[in-house]
Amino acid sequence: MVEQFLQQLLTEFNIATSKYSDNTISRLLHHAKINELTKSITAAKKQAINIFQMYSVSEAFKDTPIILPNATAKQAYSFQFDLSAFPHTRIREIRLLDKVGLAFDPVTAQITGVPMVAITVDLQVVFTCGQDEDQAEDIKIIPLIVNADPKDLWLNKPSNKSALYAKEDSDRYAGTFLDKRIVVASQRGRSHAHEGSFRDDHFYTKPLLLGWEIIAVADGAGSAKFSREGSRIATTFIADSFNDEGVLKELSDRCTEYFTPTEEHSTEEQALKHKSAIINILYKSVRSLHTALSNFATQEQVQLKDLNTTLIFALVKKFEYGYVVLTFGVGDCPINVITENPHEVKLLNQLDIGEFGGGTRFITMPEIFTNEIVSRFAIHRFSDFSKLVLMTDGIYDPKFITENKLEDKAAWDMFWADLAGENEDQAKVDFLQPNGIDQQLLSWLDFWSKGNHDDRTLAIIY
Amino acid sequence: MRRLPVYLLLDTSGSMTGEPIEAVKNGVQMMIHSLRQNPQAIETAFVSIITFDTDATQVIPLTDLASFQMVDLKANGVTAMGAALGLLADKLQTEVARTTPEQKGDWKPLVFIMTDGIPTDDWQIGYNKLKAVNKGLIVGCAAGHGADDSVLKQITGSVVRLDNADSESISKFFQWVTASISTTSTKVEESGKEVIGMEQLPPPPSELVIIA
Repeated sequence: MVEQFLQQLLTEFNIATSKYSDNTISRLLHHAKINELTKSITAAKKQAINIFQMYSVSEAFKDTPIILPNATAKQAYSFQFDLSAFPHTRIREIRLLDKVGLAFDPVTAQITGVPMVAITVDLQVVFTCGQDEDQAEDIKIIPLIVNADPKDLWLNKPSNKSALYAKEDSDRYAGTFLDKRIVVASQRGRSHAHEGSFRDDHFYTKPLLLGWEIIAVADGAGSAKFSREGSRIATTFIADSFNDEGVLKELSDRCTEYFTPTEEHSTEEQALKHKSAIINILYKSVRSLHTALSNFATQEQVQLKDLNTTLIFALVKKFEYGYVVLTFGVGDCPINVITENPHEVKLLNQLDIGEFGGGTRFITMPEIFTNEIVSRFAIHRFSDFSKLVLMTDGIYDPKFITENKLEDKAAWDMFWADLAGENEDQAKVDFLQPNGIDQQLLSWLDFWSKGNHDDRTLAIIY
Repeated sequence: MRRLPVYLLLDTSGSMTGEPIEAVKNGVQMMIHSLRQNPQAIETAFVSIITFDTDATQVIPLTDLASFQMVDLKANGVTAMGAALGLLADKLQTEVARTTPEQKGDWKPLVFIMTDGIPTDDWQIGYNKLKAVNKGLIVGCAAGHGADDSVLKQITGSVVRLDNADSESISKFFQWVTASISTTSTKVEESGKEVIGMEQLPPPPSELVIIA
């Protein structure tokens, strides 16, 4: 070691090797002072190179990208640092992490916690490199983004109560429906609440003469300026239009003859005649509703399409031969019946589903009044039913996703379980207790579903 | 949930070196930051970045705003815009969900193409591939004097021009892209309809001139 040390020293001092230098080296090999100096200089060099390496690791660590996945406010977050490539590097603390609401454990090298607010912060990661007493400390900056809880980003601005055709942001109703009960709730969607605009949905239910009752639900088009009024007129006008003794008497008689033919040899032809008569009565009301909407638009000097709204209704009466349910639908809102015996789910109306947007139909559109409108009406009889449900797409988009699930028993079982409280908010609708059920349903309507913030209206006859 | 796919095709050729590329990076950062504050956008908008220089690369796959993290962009090489259009066509097919009876697919994509030059490859090969699969709105942006808007005009009927490719102008462009994504995400959630033309996007700032 001494020999090598001396030779390197000579090179460093530009002393050429000669006979004398070799002899001198030999002589000094056992020189005490030289031996001591060699040891201490080698040790000093080693120490210096260790320090160099330590700082070099520190630089490398600072330069190595470490990406913290973005966090979201109010959601648990955890991140495990992987320091396997840096065996002598330790993270001592992370400054500013407390500002985010997270904590760092130096032993496990883990960040955990639940961030409370949205923030973007450059974390100061204090780390050390090296072993024992020789340690270099430095700071590495790692950005961390905490997204807002999406729920907090939605504003809830009240709608302008003094605006034209102002409407309450929510509505609810509970009562009897024939020998059953009805509960309905309608809630302004978050997208409307965010902008302080109105609820466009509407519902109306009413007992009519001669034992008939009606429930109507309408979804005003988001793109139409005054659709909130269109949906109000559509539901109230249609219900009132049937409340005529002459009309309902004929409707009752025709239904009875259609379902329980009295003549001994009733023919298919006769059945068809009664069926057309029933549909004709329904058609007249729907037609007069369209006229009423046109007149309203003219009178208010707005365009008819400003009132664009869908409409579904069920006109129901209990006869000795069962419940007659007459339905109509334009647009994409479903009417479903659930029977116990047999256990079945049926969609009672055809839906206008617009693939790529263009196909939605509204009661305000003159083009729906063609011969094909017949298929929008339906005549049903049930000896009994357990639920009759009308809803807007604000409900079925998040809860049923696609239209074909509307006749899927499993999807409906999940829906009832959801209403019974099996949901994130534990919002429960108790069908056994009529008091306060409308408020329960309205609260349930507040459910959170990413990307689904439309107005929600749900009517259940049970 | 139906996503609103947004593809940014960004020119990272050598001519973008310096101020322009820095402005593009900042523009994307600001855009993401701002869209994160919008409840509709953060739920629906998904962003992908495809850069093109000597080749085209998808530097960020279609990613939701909440998990989006910007990467570094470097400017060098030539302008393989055709390769970028072809890559976009592939990504539209693999990343964007189609509507089936079982699921509602994604909304039609929004595509922004920004270039400061002239394609150096056969852009028509990529364009033909894209034409066959794209259903959404494509907006072209010709940034600066060296940008050839005639090619962009053949690719889409919606083209804007930035007279300068300086940081101020590029930042304005990204502000407009941000506003356009916000508007579209609100529109799809509220009316269930996508935007189909540039006239449905917010009016561009004065630095951006609509030329097609």
